[in-house]
Amino acid sequence: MTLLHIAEPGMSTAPHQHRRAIGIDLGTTNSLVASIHNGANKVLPDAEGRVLLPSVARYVAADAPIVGHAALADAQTDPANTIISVKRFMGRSLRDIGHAAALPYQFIDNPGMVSLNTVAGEKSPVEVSAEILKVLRARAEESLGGELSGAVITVPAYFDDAQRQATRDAAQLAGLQVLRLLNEPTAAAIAYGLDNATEGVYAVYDLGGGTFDISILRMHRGVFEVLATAGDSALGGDDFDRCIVDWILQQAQLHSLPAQDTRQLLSLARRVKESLSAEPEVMITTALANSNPLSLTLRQTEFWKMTQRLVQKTLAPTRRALRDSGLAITDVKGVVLVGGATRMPHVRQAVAELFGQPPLTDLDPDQIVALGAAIQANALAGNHSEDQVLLLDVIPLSLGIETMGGLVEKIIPRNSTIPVARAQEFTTFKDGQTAMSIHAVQGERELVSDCRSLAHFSLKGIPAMAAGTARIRVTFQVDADGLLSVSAREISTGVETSVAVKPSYGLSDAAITRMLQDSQAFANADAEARALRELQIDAQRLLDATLSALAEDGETLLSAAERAQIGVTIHSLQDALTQADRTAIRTATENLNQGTTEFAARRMNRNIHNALTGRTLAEVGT
Amino acid sequence: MSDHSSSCRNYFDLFGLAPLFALDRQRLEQHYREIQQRVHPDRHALGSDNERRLAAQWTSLANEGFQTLRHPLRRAQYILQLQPVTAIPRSLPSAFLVEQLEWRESLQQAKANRDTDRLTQLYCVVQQQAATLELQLQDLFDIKGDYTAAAGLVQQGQFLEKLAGEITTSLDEIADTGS
Repeated sequence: MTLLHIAEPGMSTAPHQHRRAIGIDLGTTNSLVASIHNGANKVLPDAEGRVLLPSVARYVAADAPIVGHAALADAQTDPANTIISVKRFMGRSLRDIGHAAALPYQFIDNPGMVSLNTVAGEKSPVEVSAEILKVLRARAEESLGGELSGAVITVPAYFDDAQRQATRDAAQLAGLQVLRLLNEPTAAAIAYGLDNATEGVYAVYDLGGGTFDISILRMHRGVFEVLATAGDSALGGDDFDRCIVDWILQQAQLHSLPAQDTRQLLSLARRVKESLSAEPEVMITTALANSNPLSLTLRQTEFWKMTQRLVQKTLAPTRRALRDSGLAITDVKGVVLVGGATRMPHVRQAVAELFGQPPLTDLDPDQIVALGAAIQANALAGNHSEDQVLLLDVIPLSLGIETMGGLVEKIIPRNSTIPVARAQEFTTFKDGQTAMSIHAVQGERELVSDCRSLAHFSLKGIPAMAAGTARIRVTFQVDADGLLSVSAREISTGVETSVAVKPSYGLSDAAITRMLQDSQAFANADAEARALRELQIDAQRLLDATLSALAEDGETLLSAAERAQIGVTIHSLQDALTQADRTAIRTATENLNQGTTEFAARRMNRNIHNALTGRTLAEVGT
Repeated sequence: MSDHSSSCRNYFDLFGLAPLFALDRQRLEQHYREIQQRVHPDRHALGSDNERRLAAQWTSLANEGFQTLRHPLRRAQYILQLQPVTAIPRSLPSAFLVEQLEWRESLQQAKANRDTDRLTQLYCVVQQQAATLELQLQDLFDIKGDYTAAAGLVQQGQFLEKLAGEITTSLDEIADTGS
């Protein structure tokens, strides 16, 4: 049989080789990387044995930025160039960042997403995040001993399309192959659920440094089904720190402060907050640059009182998620706490009161997200494991389209399971109208102006007809990362246009390319060699996939002639791979892709069929 | 799902269920999970482009089918859609319309007063009404086979659903804009 020949000389089909895959928790305050290695899921430490990497980058003139602990230590002396909590700026415009004036940075109000002015020039939040990711990538490569095959990066479940896209861009910029963007509470649920063999409905309450998520999940025999999610992508531990700073300013009767003092007080406030989780009161003594030394005492009860408003702000989304899930509070078997901010006793107390049960705290709220991401990364990289989980996640915010009068017509409602595709028909409203402008938005409000604008594009070449006769079908498609693409088609003529929702906010492809070229990671690499390497990886991946598909189903689903035909295209691609000719590899890859379309369709049909028959047999058996 | 779904003519077929309004929920959920276990893109992460594209298509189809059958009103609309032609009653009963007007008035008032308790209460009343409707639909579809009467009730259901949606939107807006 040809199959044996195919798998022969010098080819690395290597289906059982362990692939190095990592899970990254890119947090507001700290970031972590975890991986399943030699069967154990571990958070990877740096050379000094520390697992948390402060999500801080300090830019210096004419050199690579300093990232992590050292950068954090510099924050007070060089606040304007030391970017802390950059996650809060991802995919956000200046208007979105409510407290921009209180931060020690020079913001540049770019359309879609802010930038920061530093000694090393203008930096986008995507670039700053990429610096953090690069450090984690290097740590993982060092620790796992070689090139990575991919990463799962976690994002707050309540991140919208712009914030997700920005995160994906940052990973690309850091040279990571993104296997999936995974929602943080879902990652936590995997790690917790697998550890405890959990069954039933659980809530994950995730209050991080800058974001809040609540997810309601049903765990059932290795399937993690998110029923509903809600949150606030601008609420977290940082806001509690700011309350303390405001209190200090008020007590000391200070008004505006220089950037250095602001940074100093924010760091101090964080330590005070942390101490107040254990102590009834904390003495605050500090000397600011332009005032007398401060000496104040903050009591736990007072801190709780002044931040109660923030705790309350988490409860409305929690109730909303429960309502959307169609469940009652009594249906929830347990509440998992995630995020450092859930260490505050008054947060725990509020959660316990709402759910009528003490939350589960027998896990490290800092590490659980990265560990969950590592499990998913391991599965998506194709490494076998006993824990074959399946995740069914949802989109957090409704997606819709602008209609007459600035109103939103929802096309995909929030909490729809992804991937999802849905189409809706629209028509022209003027006689002879030949173009239609399409504006995709995300959010729950009725007015377009209250929602986030995602993309504008137009469908042109509609034949001139009477108003209301053209039929324009707009299709929204959300992939497993929660990212949207939109297409529009006039039905009678088939005129079509589509857009991956990207350019109207944040970064264009051109901007990404420029950053890639500027970036240290690629400055020395030969662009040509890199392009070739990418083609080779894609080709090898397709070869591996095709060979393993043939080994599994070639005999049953293909005729001898069809197998021979595919065999020929496989050989051409293998030949092409022996030479460094990009065009040849690209052509041969396309040929093999096309030549296996029908085979892939048959395999998928067989899968569905097996799902049905397998079940019927099981039922007959019982 | 054009050419690849020859074996599944409709969502009931896809999930191996009888085409009835009465739903074996557990069975639907179990079959949905079994199909997802096989077609989900995560199960084909290392597959060819073709395979991953098909996986995404099938998963979207299974998700859509699952949501359609799971929600009573959408299931009812779907069953009507599968019928050749169904006459639809021209008007809604006046008692129903009067009640709707009253509820809408309550909604507007509660919204203006930011009265979340009243909104929540109204939401419960509407949901109860929807549950009653579901029982009536089961009788009309599965026992009497009266699709015209069922279509009339579906129209009422749409009113209720729209109202429930507006109540939750109001609750969300009140929560979002702070108290």
